[in-house]
Amino acid sequence: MTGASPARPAGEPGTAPDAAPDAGPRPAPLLSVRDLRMTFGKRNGVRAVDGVTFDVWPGETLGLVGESGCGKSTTGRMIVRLMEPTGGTVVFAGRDITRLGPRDMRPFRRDIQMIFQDPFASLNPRQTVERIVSGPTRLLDRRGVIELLETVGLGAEHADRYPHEFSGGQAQRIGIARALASRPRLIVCDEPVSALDVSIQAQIVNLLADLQRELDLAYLFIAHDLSVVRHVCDRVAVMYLGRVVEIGSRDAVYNAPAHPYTRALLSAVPVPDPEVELVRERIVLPGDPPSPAAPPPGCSFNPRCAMARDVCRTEAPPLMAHGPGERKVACHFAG
Amino acid sequence: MILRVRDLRVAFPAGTAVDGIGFDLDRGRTLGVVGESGSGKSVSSLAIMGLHREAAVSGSIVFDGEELVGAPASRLRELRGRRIAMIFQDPLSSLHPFYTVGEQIAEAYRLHLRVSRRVARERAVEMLAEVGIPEPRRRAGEHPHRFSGGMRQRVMIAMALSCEPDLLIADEPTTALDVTVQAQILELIRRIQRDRGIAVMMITHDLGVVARVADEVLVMYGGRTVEHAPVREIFRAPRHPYTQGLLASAPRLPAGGAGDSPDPAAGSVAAGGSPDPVAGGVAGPVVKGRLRAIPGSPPSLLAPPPGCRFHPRCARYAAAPDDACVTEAPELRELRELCVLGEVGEVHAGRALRLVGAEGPPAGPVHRTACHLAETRGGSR
Amino acid sequence: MTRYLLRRLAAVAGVLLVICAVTFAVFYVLPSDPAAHACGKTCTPEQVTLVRAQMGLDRPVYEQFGGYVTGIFTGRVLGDGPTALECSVPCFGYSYQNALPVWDLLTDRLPVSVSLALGAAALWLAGGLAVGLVAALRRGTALDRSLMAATLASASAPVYFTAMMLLLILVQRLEWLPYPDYRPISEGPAAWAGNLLLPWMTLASLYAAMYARLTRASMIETMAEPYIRTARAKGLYERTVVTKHGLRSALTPIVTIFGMDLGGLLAGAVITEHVFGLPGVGQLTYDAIFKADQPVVLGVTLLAAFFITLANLGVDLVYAVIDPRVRYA
Repeated sequence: MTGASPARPAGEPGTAPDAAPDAGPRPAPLLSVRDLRMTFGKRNGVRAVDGVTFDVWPGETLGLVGESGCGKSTTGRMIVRLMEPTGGTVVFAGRDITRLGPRDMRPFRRDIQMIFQDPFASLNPRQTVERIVSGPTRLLDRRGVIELLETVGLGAEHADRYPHEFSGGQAQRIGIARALASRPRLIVCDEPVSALDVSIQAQIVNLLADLQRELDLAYLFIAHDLSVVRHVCDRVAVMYLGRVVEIGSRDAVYNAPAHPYTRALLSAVPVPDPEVELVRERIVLPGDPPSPAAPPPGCSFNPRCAMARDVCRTEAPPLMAHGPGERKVACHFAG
Repeated sequence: MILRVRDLRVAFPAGTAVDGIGFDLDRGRTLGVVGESGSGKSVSSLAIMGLHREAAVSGSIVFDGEELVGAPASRLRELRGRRIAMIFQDPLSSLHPFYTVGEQIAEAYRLHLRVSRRVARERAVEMLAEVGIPEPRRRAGEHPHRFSGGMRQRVMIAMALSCEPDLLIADEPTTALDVTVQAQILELIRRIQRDRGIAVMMITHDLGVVARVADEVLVMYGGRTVEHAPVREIFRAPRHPYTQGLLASAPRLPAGGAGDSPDPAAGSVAAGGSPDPVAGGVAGPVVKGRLRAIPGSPPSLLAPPPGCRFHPRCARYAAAPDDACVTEAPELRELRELCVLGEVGEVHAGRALRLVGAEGPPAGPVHRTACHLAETRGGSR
Repeated sequence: MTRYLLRRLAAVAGVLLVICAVTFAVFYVLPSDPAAHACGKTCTPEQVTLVRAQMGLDRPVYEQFGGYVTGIFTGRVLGDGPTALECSVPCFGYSYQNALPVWDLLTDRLPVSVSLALGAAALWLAGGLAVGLVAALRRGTALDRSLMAATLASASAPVYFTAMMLLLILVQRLEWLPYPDYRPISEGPAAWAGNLLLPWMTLASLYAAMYARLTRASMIETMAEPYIRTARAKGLYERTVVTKHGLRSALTPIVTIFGMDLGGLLAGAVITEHVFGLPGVGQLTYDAIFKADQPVVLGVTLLAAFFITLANLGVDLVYAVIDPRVRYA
């Protein structure tokens, strides 16, 4: 972890055992994202991601939540280098990988894998499961593939089938097996369960949790579903219009949200309990999330915010430490 | 009684999608129809609309005293949009990209109420204003792609309600929307229902949505009803193992805790980092990562399992297998408590239950479930 | 909309200029002796020398190109002295073999080709759309299958085969139609149409088959769109659902293809014109290629390019009218 080299000891998923995120002084983060930016278009560019900063420690799950167009998926894609950031840095295991060429990037591509929302769209329909899982570079032999399929809850009998023969939940398991083939240390999960039925969603969430424990994986869990995120994450970052507006431990963010947007977001999620729904106070935000092409001046949340004052319309609040612990909030009037 | 459905079946050449469902729906009330993909919930709603073209629909759908199964296509067309309206999941693809939203709203109004183009246009503007679209007159002249997702769903609602229908079928109306916008749309549907006293059939996979809007819930699995009860009972005392599994597998937010108070004191407590159990007893303490999943996948329409369609995934069957589960489809039976039903929450704690056989249409909202093993255990989850 | 139109017109002008430069290079610059090519196979060396002077081949290339382009807009005089040739606006060159300016040859033949193309287009659009629509709405039935089999047969029959069969049946056996002999529309629409009917049918049968298949596929796709379900849920008559909501969307891809096809045909349907002996641009092209009459080939190439780019512009404008999303893009 300390060296700049991405090599790891004897194929073991490598992090120190004391790497648990809340155990005393932390080791170095596995992934450090600093001021990451993505601007589409040259003049009057659309700032889809506008200076995002966070860390992911080994073996933990950071949730990245927000509504459509907030830049969470773009952020994930820049980290796995499916997109080239227009600014900022991505440091993985102590090494800046933001500007690495394809050759230098190769070892990191094994370390950082991705799972996608639509399991079928991300699996080549003309390849057998064995080929999909072993990957273009034939990382695994048949035995390795079968072992991995069993790890994700499938079996040897699935190895020779094609993606269309599987249900959505099974296809997502194949996608996970493929991501695991290169023994990654970080998996960027982009809405991995939002296309699945509720009962299947729970299976995949459990599988991801088991894998994390067994293989000491770190996840960047990108999702719009706040209830799922609460179940899988150690820490949560809330994004709005290309920026992180609140980041902190899961319990801090969920039990005492400090940013008005986080509060509204949480109160908007329907709770599967009619009696709670009956008495629960809801903050119904007016309007739609603004377009990143024309962000409002000042704090980008101000047009929808009940607490907005004059300063909110002129000055964008920076992400600042809020209370004890590691929570940070970007709000002039964080409560 | 505005809608009375009995033994509804919808059979496609490939297989039977809906296999005998029934329910009643009154004016001013909301029925939540819950199920996963392939449960037959959307197929049932399209059958009520008379929109199946290649399927055999049988059974009985009585709308305001009129039988719709077997009714001539021309009569169904007259009712559609006029007295039974529907909104869909994806508002962008459900609106025609080439016509302005004003034209699209006015179209049905003009046809059904035989008014002039001008009157229909005014009506469109009026409806857009009612569903909360700012500058309705200007926006009526714009095309759907100029609207945001939430605004498009408002347009759909305006279109559906323009002819003052008696029944609104909403098929996953908020699934494609962001959560803050979803809250707005649910609020809007509820307000309109209150104002106009229409009946709403809300089809969704989201138990949270059901809890928020429904009076009664119909849980579907593999084309059949597995449980049908007032909304509080479904959530407090689910009887069917599938309903129980569904509720247990759904991740949830702390009940009532989140976002209701910008209390600075609360912030400091939680930021202290203690893994405090969340407020409210429903969710219980959160163990990171694990949810109670239902094993297996929903059944295929082509080859549904015999007997009870849920038995291959059923925990209760796995614990105490019963031949009946494999050979016989369980009937939907009424569960009536011997004692007076007091605090609903206590029921599942072990009150004696008496099973009453299917005896014609239910008089009021009662709790019915279709499970051979329902009597062996209460609905603790 | 006006800005969009201006932008598109500028683009068309640019495309035409590029095509002009390419064809000019092919005919004036690349050959070792362009004058000999232009003059034709039977020219004497003296004639070639004369042509070389008239083409201005002794001058620099850019001047030659400039002269060629400006000639189109202002006309020009080829050569000087007593052998000079007057080539009036628009000057597309001079056919030494026909002893006429190319433009005169083209304008002479153009009405025939335009008549052929427009008539056939009307026929194939009507036939193709109707067949495709019926097949799509009766999808999977015996009617659909037989219609599709018929279009496949029709599309795979070569033009000369179709022409021969139609001639054999309609002209020789049944004697319903006269043998085609082009009459300008000024001699009366009946004579004009009666003589063109056979070529129209020949050409249309080929295109109609393709359009029927295209319409069917597009219509089936459109009718599965969620907004069609919405239209039905509104209680509209099925007729309205199909025409107002379905057909209008289904036609957009067809508009694109139609523009290209019509644009190409306006500059001559070589085989059809040849088979029926119609004196159109296609026939002119055929003869010019046969006799290596290069100035004519060059002129026809430019004409075809002009029609196709113009048709494309037309398509884009129609598109903007049909689909509001294009207007704002």
